[in-house]
Parts: sequence; C-alpha cells; structure tokens
Amino acid sequence: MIFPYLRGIFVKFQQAPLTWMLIYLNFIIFAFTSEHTPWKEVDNLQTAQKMVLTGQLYYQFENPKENVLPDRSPQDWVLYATQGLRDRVFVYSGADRNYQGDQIAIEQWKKELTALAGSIDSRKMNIYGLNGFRDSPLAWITYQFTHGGLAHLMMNCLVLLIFGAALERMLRPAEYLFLYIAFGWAAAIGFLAFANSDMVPLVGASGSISGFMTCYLMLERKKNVAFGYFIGFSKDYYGIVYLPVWIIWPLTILPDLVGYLSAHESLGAGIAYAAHLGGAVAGAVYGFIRRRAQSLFASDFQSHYEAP
Amino acid sequence: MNTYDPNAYPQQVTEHAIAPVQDRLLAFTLDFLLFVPLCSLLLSGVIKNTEYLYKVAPTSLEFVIHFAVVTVLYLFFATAFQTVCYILWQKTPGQYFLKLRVHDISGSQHRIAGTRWFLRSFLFTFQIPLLLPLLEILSHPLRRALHDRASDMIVVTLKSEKDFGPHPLESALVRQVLLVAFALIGFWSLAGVGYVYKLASSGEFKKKELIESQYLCKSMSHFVSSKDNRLDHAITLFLADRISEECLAAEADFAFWKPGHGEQDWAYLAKAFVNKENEKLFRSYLEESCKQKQSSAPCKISQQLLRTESSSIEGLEQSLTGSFLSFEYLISQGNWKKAEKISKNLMAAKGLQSFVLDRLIKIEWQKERREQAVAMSDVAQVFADEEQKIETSAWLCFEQLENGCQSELKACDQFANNLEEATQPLQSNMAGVALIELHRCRPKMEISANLLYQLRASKRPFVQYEQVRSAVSQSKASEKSGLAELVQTKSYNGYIKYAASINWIPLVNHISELDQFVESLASMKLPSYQTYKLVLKATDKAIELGFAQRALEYTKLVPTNFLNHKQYNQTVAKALEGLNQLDKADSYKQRSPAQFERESGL
Repeated sequence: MIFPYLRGIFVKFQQAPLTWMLIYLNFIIFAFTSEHTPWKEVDNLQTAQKMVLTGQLYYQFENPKENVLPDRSPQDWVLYATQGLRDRVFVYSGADRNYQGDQIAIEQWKKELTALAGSIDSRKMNIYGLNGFRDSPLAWITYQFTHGGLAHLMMNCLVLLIFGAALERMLRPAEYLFLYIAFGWAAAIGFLAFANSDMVPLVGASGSISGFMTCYLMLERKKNVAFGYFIGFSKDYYGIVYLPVWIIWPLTILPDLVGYLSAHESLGAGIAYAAHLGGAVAGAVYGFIRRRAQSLFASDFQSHYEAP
Repeated sequence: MNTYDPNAYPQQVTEHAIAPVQDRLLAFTLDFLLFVPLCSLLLSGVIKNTEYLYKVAPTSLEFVIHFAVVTVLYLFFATAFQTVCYILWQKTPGQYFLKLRVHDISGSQHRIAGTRWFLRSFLFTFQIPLLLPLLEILSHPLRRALHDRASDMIVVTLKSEKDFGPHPLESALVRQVLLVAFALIGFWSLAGVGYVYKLASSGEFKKKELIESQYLCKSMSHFVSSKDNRLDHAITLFLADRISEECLAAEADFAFWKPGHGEQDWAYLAKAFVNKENEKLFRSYLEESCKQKQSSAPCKISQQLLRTESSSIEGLEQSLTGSFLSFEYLISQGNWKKAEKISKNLMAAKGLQSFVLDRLIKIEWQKERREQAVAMSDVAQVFADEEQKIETSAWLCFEQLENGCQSELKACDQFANNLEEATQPLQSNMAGVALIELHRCRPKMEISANLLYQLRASKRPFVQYEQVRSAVSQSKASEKSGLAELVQTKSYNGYIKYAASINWIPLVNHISELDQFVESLASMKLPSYQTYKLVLKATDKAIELGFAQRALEYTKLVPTNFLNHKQYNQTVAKALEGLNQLDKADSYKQRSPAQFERESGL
C-alpha cells in the first residue's frame, strides 16, 4: 500500500486550521442530514420477484411496441430493474402505463412504485443532494456537505486532511475556502453533463477534494514529496519514501477516468466519476493558471506561510 | 536496514550490491499502482462488458471467456510496459524511484538485447498470478528468482545499504514451503483434472446446458409432454408436491408473457395456488382467471374454489387439475368409489402415479382391507419415488402401531428400510411422527442423528412432538399436558394435531375433557378418516370412564361412509353393552358391510 503522506496524515489543528474546520463542519452537517430511517418504499420493491417484474415492466416501458419479452435470466431482469429504478421518467410515470403480464401483480407493483415516487422528495439525500431535475440553487452548496454514510464521510475527510493541509500552505484563506466551493460547482457541472435522467443525487465532498488534489499537483514546486508505504509489519517494510509529486495522478485521478469509462450504465457504480473528473479538471486549470501567474508576478502571490 | 553480522550470515562472495527485498517489493508496488490504471484505461471497454456479465451470468461461458480475455490482455500489457521500460531505461519507474537497477549477471556493460528483456518481463509477469515461484527471491543467495536466472540478470541497488542474501534458515524455510505447496497444488490439480474429466465423460455438462436452455423450469422437464396443457399439468404436480412453488410461479409467468391470451387463465389459476396463504391475493387471482372466458376449465375450478368451504369440488374432470381436486375432495369425504374412478385419469399423467398410488393404498386401508393395502404398498415401493415411498410407509406404520407393538408391523419394517436408503433430506411431519412412535415401540432401534436434524430444522411442531413423546422419564401428567398443547395450538399442522390427539385421548381422566375435545373436532378440519379414528378413540375412552351413554352420543359424529366399518360396529356394540342394551349390541356385532350398504344405499 502506498499513499500520499505530504505533510502527514494527522496534521495538527494549528498547522491546518481551515482544513480542520471544514472537516468539523462536514461532520456536524452529516449529523443533521444523514438518514436514520430505512426507506421502506425501496425495500418493498427490492425482493427478488419484484425486481424481476420491475425489469420486465421497464423493458415494456422502453419498448412499448414489442409484445414478446426477450429470453433473459432473472439476474438480467434484476439488473435491468436497477437501471429502471434510476430512471426518473420510469419512476414517476411508470405506474400510468398499461402492461402485459400478471395484472394482479402489476397492480400491486404500480401501487408500490407510486409510493416510492411519492417518498423520494422526503429523503434527505434528495433534499440536500444535487440532481438534474430539481431546480434548487442551494443544492449546489448543500450537496458538498451531505454524505451517503459515515464511511463515505470519513474517507473524504481523510483525503481532505492530506491534500487540504498541503494546499492550505499555498493559498490564502479566502481563496482556499472559495476554491473548495468552486471546485464543488465544477464537479456538479461535470456530473450534470452526464447524469441524463438518473435519479440518484450527487452528494459528497469528493468533487471539491479532487479539485484540491489536482490544484496541489500543479502548485507543488518540490520535485519529490513524502509518500507513506506499508508492505508488512517487519522493520523496513513500512515507512516514508520520497517520490515525484506527479505519481499522485495515476494513483488518484486516473482510476476515476478508468471508472467512468468502464462503468456499465445498468450497474450503477455508486461513485460519481464524472463529478470527480469535473472537480479535477477545474483544479488542474486553476492550478496551472495560478502557477503561471505566480511565476510572472512572484511578489503578489507570496504565500501566507513559509515554504518548508 | 540490513546490518552485517558475520556470525549470523555467510558472507556472499559477489561484487554485486544485491537489492534489498523490501525495496524490490516497494518498487513492484509502485509499478503495479502505475501500470494497472494505465492498462485499465486501455481495457475499459472490455472491463465494462466483463463486469456486466459477471453480474448477469457469472457461471456462463461468455463470462469465462471475457474474464480470460481481460486477464490475458492485462498480462500482455504488463509484459509490454516492462519490456519497453527495460529496453529504454534498463529499469521500471518503481525501480528508478527506489534506486534499483537490473544488470547482466556477468557485470558486462554491453547493451542487453530486447529479447532478453522480453523473456525476463514475460516470466516475471506470468509468475505474479502463481506467486509461489517468486518466493525464491527469499531463498536464493543472490535473490534471483526464475525470471532473473532465465535471462541471466540480477537486481542491484545504488544505495549504500545493500542486502547480504538470505540467512540459511530463511532459505531452508522457503524451500520447504515451496516443496509442500507444489506437492499440494500438484495433488489437487490432478484430482481436479480427474474429476472434471469424469464429469465430461458422463455428459453432465451437456445435460445441464440442455436442461437450462430448453426448459423454463428444470423440474418440469421430467414430466411434460407436447400433448399436455403444460400449466394444467404443472398445477397438479405442484399440488402433488412434485414441483416447487417457484417452479409453478415461473411457469405461470412464462405463460403471461406469451403473445395472445391462450394460457393466461391457467396462469392466474396457478398464481392463485402459489399465493394460497394470502386469502385476498388467492381470491383476486381466482377471480382474474375467469375474466377471459367463463366456460373455461380454470374458470370453473376457480368458481368452485371461491364458493364457501362446505361446497364440493366435483364435476371438473375435463382438466387434470379439476380431476386432481375432485379426487382429493372425494377421498376426504370418504367417497372412495367415485375417487377410484377418477384415479384412472390421474394415473395416466406423468409424475402423478406415485401420488395416486399412495392415495389408493390409504383408501384400501380405510376400507379396513389392511392386508391388501400393505400388499399394494409393497408393489408401490418399486414404482414410487423416494419421498412418496417414505410418506406411504410412514402413514401405514403409524396406523399399524395403533394396534400395539406386539402386532405384525410389516409397514414399519418397510418404513425403516426406506429411511435407511433415503438420500434426500427428510422434511415430512408424518414421517417424523411415525419415526418417533416406532422408536417408542422399538427402543433399541437407532435413529440417525442426521435424520432427526433434518426433521427438526425449522419445524417447531415436530420438535415439540418429539420432546413430548421421546422423553423417557417424564410423568403421564406432563406427557398429557404436552400433547394437549399440541392439540390446542391452532397454527399447527393437521397431522401433528391428529397424532397428538390419538395419543392424548388414552391419558384423559375426566369426561369433561373428552366432551371439549369432541366439540372441537369440527374446527380441526381433519380429513374424514382421521375424524373417524378420533371419534372412535374418544368413544372407547368414554366407555372406559364409565360413560356409555356419552360414548353412544359421540358415535353420531362418525362420518357416514364409515358406518359400515367393523371397528365402528364393535365400538357401538360395546357402548350398548355398557347400557345393558344387549340385543341391540348383538345386532351391531353381526352387521355386515353388505347389509349396511343395502340399508344406507351407499
């Protein structure tokens, strides 16, 4: 295992106050925006039989002129159902159509789909998250502080701590905070450009953090930076090694690109690769511009903090 | 860092600064983290399809091929990347950062040929999935594994701290580990090859493929023929417990999605039986099956089922399902003549012979033709499947045990044999009850722990029955209260209730308990034969307690078709003797079935 160490993983508050404040803010907001109740309308539809039926009905929904179902395995129908349940048009209007098949099971299914559609707007992820069909300017900010779960939040905060602490030394405080939000907006634009009618909202700070990563990569002037490694428990099998800073690209940004290109649309990766890439591109562009400006107008951009 | 201790390590006589193992591992990790995303980027399209197939059909040949292609491509690109790096720079990026280099073992400074680099890269890449050959790095004195030795290379460090080679203990350990590992792998590989070859030779792969491709429901493949109405047949097989609920539901769904509406009424009827536990859904499906055509066979069946419980299910013999339901209904009412007539239709249908034979055997027994029933059961042992054999012999054994342990228990011997030969898990309450009662009769008989485990699994009524009847040291009072609980619990299966009742009645001390029990008989909804047996048992007990008049009143509850039975007549005669009505008692003792049939018109 190799990971960027930079200024360290657990940097002291005094050494990265803004980063720590952002982390605390994320935790506090998570406490208020995390969902505590199960989503029973989704649970009702997620039995094996109902998912097969949903897949078959989604096929009819998409292909209304066909009256014979293709020969597919139950797993295939379940996957197709997953795709259907992410399709906003199907979820909101699927119950209004007539379908061929077991009419009693279909009537029951329609009631459950209608209940699901009615419950979406009351879920916190949909209230605070960002998706293409809700016209809510505030969501462009709230989504960055909403997370899907504790593990999601902690992972993001850990990476924020590593890169945010490193970047904080290179930027002014107001600039740092503005960029956190701005990279989040860039991530949102990236997500919306590829979201189509996907129901699943965008949540999390990873778009902003991707921007921080690439911005740091462009601004870091040192040739080699610290990376932590762990191969085993014996001496010399763990420690710190100094490697070129550009290695962060294939370790972090390239997997996002690969994930985006290799994710099958019906499977739903659960990770908004397009958002990561949007934030990363914005961070890289800003970092590049700032670095050029720094070299042209060196004194105006002198950092608040001393270089290590 | 390595510290050289001349007392611990033999000093290596070499001019090479051998690269430390941890540096090589770290360099490999870095290369891995750099190469894998690059390779994945190039292969993203293939990975996408492979992932999809993994979710949809992980056991399909398509997935296996996709996976194999992805693996080969990864290995190819890894080899190519390494080869290019070595040709251009004599090192990979990870080795560059960790200050490692790959040199010719002879120390020559001449440019190394691309083919040698390719050989080294190829062997290294293909050792990674195997892993074990790379362990030689830990045991070889110069830390050279196969890929280094084959290409005459060595990995050195430019750092001042170098490796002094493995300690003799380290070398010995790794060699032994490799030896054992290869021996195990070799053995299991040979065994695996042999097993796969055996499967292929016996046609198992092809058979599985045929079943999966040709038939919607695997179980139906044994029974269906082109002349059958498939769903009609499927419903009867489901009712006879030959196919599962999932199978019937799958058959019904398949019919729903066919163009036209030909079989949809049958499909709704099938779905009704699948959802029988849910009263509302059951009725909805039955009503739906009549929407297409009121005169269709499924609609007629549905209409009968939708009526109140007391209505009969008769006159539906145009379809197999109708015949089956009529057959079962007639048996439960004791109308054996009509049931036997219908049985001929059912015997012609594939998959139902064992079931019908089982019912016919029970009819013979219920007619008090005990020897014929046991003889038929002997014959049925040849034709019936394992499950049916056990069910039939269990039922007969339980009936025989009522006459006491000393009587001839031929059916119980048959039952014990069937249990010994059983290959499928035993899940029937009837078989479980018969087993417990047989064990009480033959305490020395061993019951397989596996059998008991199968019966106990998720069957609470059986577990309770076993606890009550198997406890050796418990008092009669405790056994009685345990059995009473089984009798009174409404949710318990009919056969457990019946068996508990049969064994509870002899333990009763007060006539009021018997009165209550007899009053509750109607609500138990047992088949008529079981009701008959319980009434007779209660009558005997009432006579024993000195309530002959009460006993006579109980006999009025006997179903009509059993009024010609010898046992019934003898019981009534006993009650009349208790009331000193000896003439009447004599007339009952002398009654013959023929006389009764003339009198009653049956």
